Amino acid sequence: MSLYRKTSLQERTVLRRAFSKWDVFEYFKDKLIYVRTNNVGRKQIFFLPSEIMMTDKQPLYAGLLIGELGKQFSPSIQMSQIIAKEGKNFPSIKVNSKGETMVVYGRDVFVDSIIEHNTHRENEMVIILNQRNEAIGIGRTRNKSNHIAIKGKIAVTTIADIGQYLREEDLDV
Amino acid sequence: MEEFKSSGMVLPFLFCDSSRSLELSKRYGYPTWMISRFLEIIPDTQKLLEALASKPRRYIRINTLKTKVEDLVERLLAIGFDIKQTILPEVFEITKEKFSLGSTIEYLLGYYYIQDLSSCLAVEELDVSAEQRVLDMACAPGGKTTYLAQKMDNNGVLIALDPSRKRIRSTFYNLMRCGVRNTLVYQMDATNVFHLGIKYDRVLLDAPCSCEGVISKDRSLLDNHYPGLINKCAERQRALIRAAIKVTKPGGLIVYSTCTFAPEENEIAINSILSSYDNIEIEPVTNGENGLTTFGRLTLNSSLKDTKRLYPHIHGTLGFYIAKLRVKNVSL
Repeated sequence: MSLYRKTSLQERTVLRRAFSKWDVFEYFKDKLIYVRTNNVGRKQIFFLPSEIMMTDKQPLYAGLLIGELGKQFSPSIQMSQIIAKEGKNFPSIKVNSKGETMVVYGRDVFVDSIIEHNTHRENEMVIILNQRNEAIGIGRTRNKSNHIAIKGKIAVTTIADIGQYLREEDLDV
Repeated sequence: MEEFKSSGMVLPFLFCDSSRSLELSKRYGYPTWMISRFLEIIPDTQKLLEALASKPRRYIRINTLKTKVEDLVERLLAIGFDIKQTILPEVFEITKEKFSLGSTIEYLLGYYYIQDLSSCLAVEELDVSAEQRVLDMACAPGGKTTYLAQKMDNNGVLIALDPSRKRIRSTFYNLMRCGVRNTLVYQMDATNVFHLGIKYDRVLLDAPCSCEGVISKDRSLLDNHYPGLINKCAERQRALIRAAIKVTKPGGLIVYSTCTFAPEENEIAINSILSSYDNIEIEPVTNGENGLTTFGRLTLNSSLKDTKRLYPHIHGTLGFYIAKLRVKNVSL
């Protein structure tokens, strides 16, 4: 049974830190954020416009799913698109058209496909952008940045992408 | 014309077979009872049957919540699609499809929704705006819901209902893909919508129906089509319209639509509502052929001409019916 509720103080702290990291703190400053615990116990974070009201009866879904909250916040694909549009300085890689095709099929990103990157850390979550700066996925850096020049190596593991829902129609959200 | 009654169940109006209905039935593979009814109500029935036998036209609706119309048009042309403007500024007909429309990057990014022009016209007629409370009584898979959210500029409140959890899942995917955030989705039978305790400015009721108008998309619909189905759908539709009226604010608007040609599910359903409620009036729908005001020997409310029918062979859309009902402000 899904249940929407307002965020706790502790959850708000984690979210604020995450919004800062992704450079969307200002964008989310006055926004209404709700937490929904889904049927497998995961805490999902939803963004609702401030005018929206919740009735006494709980909806199955409300607003836009922007991510999941564990010890840290993991952005959703929808959130990555907000970040790509609103943020200016956030961890990202930009891929060529071959890389774009690979990502939307859920494949990892090879070094050869990366046109630009602004991350220098291992195991860091990054937004995967196409050549038009549109967010097409979320990944995690695998190699240290000095490996990024080694051709044929996987540089970023794709953890979510815009083709995911289409491939997994029964994806339980 | 005969109206069949058996074991308390009123079956739809059936007409005597003619040599013409027998011939068309044989040529196009339809049950004769359907053809006899089509001949009674649809102009150029043979052209309709030809249209239903061919692939329906494909339309996309550009999602202005995520992109600009001119930008996406340019992109689609650049990747080899041919597109043509329709009567709605954000809806385009795809005249040449280089790849599958549902697998482009632009689709996955939520820049457009594959949606028939007829469905878009129903939403257009509802005349929604950003500050309103809007209800979509049968939302799955989310085509009209996402268009409503777009028209509301992602503001106001949009309540969307569907009884099936599985279908809600696909609705949720489409809402997310299109970047919709002003919507609350309830798993609920829409006849119980009053339990939410909300009154709405606008209500869209795209009612579950016998789907005669979409046979060109799914020929197997013919195998499951029988006169009793029309009656079953019509009963459900009347219950849904009554539920819609119950939750619409005085002065509010209800758009009722179906994708069937059956008058029992369209004009006759609305006619029975007009007879039962004196605070409901029909407002004219802009596009399409006038709604029926007679069917066989039955005479219906003359204002039903202001409801509209869309036909594949005339309008290039799926078969569709749209009625606009205004809930009058009743002065005491």
